[in-house]
Amino acid sequence: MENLPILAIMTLFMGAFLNSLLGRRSRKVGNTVVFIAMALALGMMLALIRPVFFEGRTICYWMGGWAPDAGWAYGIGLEVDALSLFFGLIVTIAVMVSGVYSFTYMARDDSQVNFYTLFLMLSGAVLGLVLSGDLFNVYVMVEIMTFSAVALTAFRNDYDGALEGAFKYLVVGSIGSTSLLVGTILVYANLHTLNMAQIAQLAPSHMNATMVTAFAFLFVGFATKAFLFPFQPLAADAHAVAPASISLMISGVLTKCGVYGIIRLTYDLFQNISESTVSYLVTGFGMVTMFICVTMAFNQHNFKRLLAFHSISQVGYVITAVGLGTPLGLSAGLYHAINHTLFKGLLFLVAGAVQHETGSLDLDDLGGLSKNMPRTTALFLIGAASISGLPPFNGFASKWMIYQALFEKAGSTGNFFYILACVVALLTSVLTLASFIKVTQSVFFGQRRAKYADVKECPAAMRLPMWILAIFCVVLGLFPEQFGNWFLRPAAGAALNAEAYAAQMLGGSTAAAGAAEYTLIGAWQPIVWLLLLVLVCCAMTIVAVSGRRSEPEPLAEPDVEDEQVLPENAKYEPFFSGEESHYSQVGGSDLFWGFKENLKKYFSFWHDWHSGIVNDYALYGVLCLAAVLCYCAVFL
Amino acid sequence: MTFNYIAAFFFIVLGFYCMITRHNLFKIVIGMSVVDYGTNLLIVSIGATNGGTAPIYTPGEIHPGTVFVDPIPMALTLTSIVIGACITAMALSLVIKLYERYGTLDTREIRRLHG
Amino acid sequence: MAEQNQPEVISTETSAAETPARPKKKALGIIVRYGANLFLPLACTFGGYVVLHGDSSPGGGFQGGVLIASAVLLVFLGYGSQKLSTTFKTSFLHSSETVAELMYIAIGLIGVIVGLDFAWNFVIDTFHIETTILMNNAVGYHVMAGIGCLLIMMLGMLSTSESDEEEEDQQ
Repeated sequence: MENLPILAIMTLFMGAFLNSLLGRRSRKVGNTVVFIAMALALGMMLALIRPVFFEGRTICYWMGGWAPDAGWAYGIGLEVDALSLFFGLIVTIAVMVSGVYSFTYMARDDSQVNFYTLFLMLSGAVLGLVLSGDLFNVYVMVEIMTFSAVALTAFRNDYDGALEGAFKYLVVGSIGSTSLLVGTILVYANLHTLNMAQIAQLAPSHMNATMVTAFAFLFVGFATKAFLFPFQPLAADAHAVAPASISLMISGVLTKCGVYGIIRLTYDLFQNISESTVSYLVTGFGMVTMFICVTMAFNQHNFKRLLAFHSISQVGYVITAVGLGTPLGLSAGLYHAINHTLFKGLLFLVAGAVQHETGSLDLDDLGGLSKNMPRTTALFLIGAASISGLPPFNGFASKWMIYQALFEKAGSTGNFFYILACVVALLTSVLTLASFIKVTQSVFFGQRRAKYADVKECPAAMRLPMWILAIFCVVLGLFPEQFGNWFLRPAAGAALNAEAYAAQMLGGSTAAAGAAEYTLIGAWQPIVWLLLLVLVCCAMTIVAVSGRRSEPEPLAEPDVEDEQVLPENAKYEPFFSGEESHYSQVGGSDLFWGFKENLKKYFSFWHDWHSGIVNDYALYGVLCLAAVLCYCAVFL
Repeated sequence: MTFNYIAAFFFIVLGFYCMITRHNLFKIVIGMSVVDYGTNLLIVSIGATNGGTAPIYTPGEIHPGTVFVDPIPMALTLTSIVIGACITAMALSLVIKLYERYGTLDTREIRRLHG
Repeated sequence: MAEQNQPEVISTETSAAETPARPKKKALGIIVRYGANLFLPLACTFGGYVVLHGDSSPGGGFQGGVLIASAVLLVFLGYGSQKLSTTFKTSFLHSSETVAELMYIAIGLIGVIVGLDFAWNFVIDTFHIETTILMNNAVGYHVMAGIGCLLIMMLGMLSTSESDEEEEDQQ
C-alpha cells in the first residue's frame, strides 16, 4: 500500500509510453492500453481512500529509500495526506471520464496515438504534482503539464485559432513557470531544503525579506496555473480551441493544480493564511476573478469560450473561500473545487457533443437542438442548474457553504472587505444563472435553423461519461453532510494542521492530522428541495401538456439582402414584450441587451482589455507579478 | 556574488521587457529564453561558493579545508536548462506553424481570439 | 578530454554550416566530408564514454546522449539530407525512445517488486554495477534517440525549405 501513490503515477506514464509503442499499428490496442492505465490509476487512488480518509494515515514515501536522517530530509519524497488524496481523486476521476469520452469524440481525428500519449503524460504529471512532497518536483510536473496542455490545445491545428491559443498559453504560462522556479530557488537559498515538510517546519521561524519575495513569486506561479484574474484570457483562448475532452482537463484538472498549490503554500508551507494581509490578497484575487469573468461571459458568442469564462469564475469562488483561512472556508473551497470539476466537465462535454454533431459552436447560429438531442439537453440542464447554484444540485450545496463561510468570517471580524466579498459572490451567482439562461435559449431551445433539421443524438459512448458526471452532480448535492464528514473534514484538517504535515514526513511522530471542525447552519433539507423540484416539474408538465400546442415553422436561412429582419431574432421574441422584431433594435444574440447597454462603458472596457495580442497578456502577467511583489514587500 | 544576483534579475526583467514590447514572434521567443538564462544564472549563483571545487567524491583528493560547491542547484540548473530548451523548441515549432497559417509574424495581426 | 573534444566538434559544425549552404548543392566539399568521417566515430565513442561514466564524472545520460545524437548532424553535414533519410529510420528511433522510457521505469520498479522503495539502488559488486547506472544508461539511450529524431525532423524541414527557395530562384 505504501507503493500505491508512486505506482499510480508510473502507471499513467507507462501507459503513455506503451501506447506510443503499441498504438501506432492498431488503435484498438492503444485504446485498451490507455483504458487499463487510467483504470489502474483510478483504482489505486480509490484503494487509498480507506487508510487515508477513514483511518487518518499519511503515506510518506521516499524514492530509493532515502529516508530523512536526524530530522533533515535528503531524498525526494511523496507525501499523500488527505488533502493530496482529495485532489488526486479529482484528477483521476476527471482523467477517466475525459479518456472514455475521447475514445468516441476523437475517433474522426488522425494521429490519435500522439493525442493519447500527451493526454496520459498530462494526467501523470498532474497526479505527480498533487502527490509530490518536493517543491522542485512540483515545478517539474508543472512544466510537463504545461507542455502537454499546450500541445493538446494545438492538437486540432486546422481549427481556426488553435495554434494562436496554444502560443499565447505557452508564452504567458512561461511567466508563471519562471516565477514558480524563482520562488522555489529563493526558498532553497534561505532554508537549504526543497522538501515541503521541511519547509513547513522551518519557514515560519525563518521569515525574512527573501522568504517574502519567494512567497510572492510562488503565489503568482500557482495563480497562473489556476488562471486567476490577469491570466484568464489564456484559459478562454485555450478552452475555445481545444478538443472538448481537453477543455475538461484544463478546467477540471489544471486549474485544480493551481488551487492545490495555493492551499499548500498558504496553509502549510508558509502558514500565513491567518494573517489578515494574506487573506485579503487571496480573497481579493478570487473576488476580482469571479466577478470580471462572469461579466466577460456575457459578451461571448462562442459556446466553449463562454463556458471557459464561467469556469474561471467558479475557480474564483474556490479561491475566495480558501482565502478565508477558516475551517469552514477551506472545506467550502474544497467542496466547490470538486463540484466545479464535475459540473464544468459535464458542460464542456455537452459542448463537445454539440460540436461533434453539428460542427458549430456559434451561439448565434445554433438553436432548437432540444428536439434533436433531448438527452444531451437534459444533461446540459443538470449542468447548468448545478453551476448556477440551483438546489438540489451540488453547486447549491457548495455555494451555500461558501456564503456561510463568508458570513461567519464577516461576522467574526466585522470587516467590510468580507461583507463585500459576500455581496460579490451572490451577485456572481445571479449573473451566472442569467448567462446560462441565454445559453440554454440560444443552443437548445428557440427556433431551429433548417440546416440543423437532421442533427442526430450523440453516440451512447459519449453520453455515458456525461451521465456519470451528472449522477455525481446530483449525489454530491443530495448528501453534503455525509460527503463533508467523510472527505471534506479530513482534507481540510490535513491542510490546517501544518505541524502534523511536517512531523509525519520527517518521522517525528505518527499523530494523525485530525479532522477540521466546523458547524453548518441548518435549513438545508435536500429532500424537501427535491420534493419542491418534483412538484414544480409536475406542474410545468401539466401546463405544457394541457396547453395549446403550436408547432413553430422551422426558420429559413437568413436573408442576406434584408439585414434588418434577421430571422434569428424570432427565437428571442418571448423576451421582448410582444414587439415585432422589425421595430426592435436588439440583436438576436443579445438577450440582455438593455443590461449591456446601460453598462456599455464597463463592458467595452473589458472587451478591449482582452485584446488578443500576446504582448498585452504578457504585460498583464508581469504587472500582476510586480503588484503582488510590492504588496508582499509592503504588508508582510 | 551580489553582481551575479543583480545580473540574474536584470536578465529576467530584460526578457520580460522583450516579451512585452516586441511584436515579432521570434523576438518573443528570444525574450522567453533570456528569462530562462537569467533564472539559471540565479540558481547557479545561489549554489556557488568562493574557491569551491566540483562536488565529486574522489578518494585521496579530500583534505581538510576542501570546499565543495552546492551540488543541488547544479542539478536544478540542468533540469531547468533542459526544460528551457524544450520550451524554446516547442515555441519555435508553433511559430513556424503560425507563420504558415497567418502569413505574418506580427502579434498585432495574430488576434483572431479576442474579446 | 572534454575540453579537447567538444570545441572541435563545434568548430567543424560552424565551419561546415557556412560552406554547404551557400555554394551549389551537390559539391559538399571533400574537407567537410573528411571531417565528418573523422569525427563521427569520435563523437559516438566520446558520447558513449560520457554516458557510461556518468556516475563518477561530470556528465551523464543527457549530455552523452546529446553527443551521440550529434552524429546525425555530422552525417547531414558530410553527406547531405539525401543520405540522412537513408541512414536513419525515424520510426525506429521513435520506438527506441519509448523503449528507453519503459526501461527507465522498469528498472525503477524493480525496487517495488522486491518489496523496497521505487528507484532503490541495488549494488551488484561482482559486476561493478548499480541500478542507478543502468537508469542513467536508459536516459542516455532515450536522449540519443529523442534528440536524433528531433534533429532529423528539423533538418528535414530545413532541406525542404532550401529546395523551395532554390526552385523559386530558378523560376
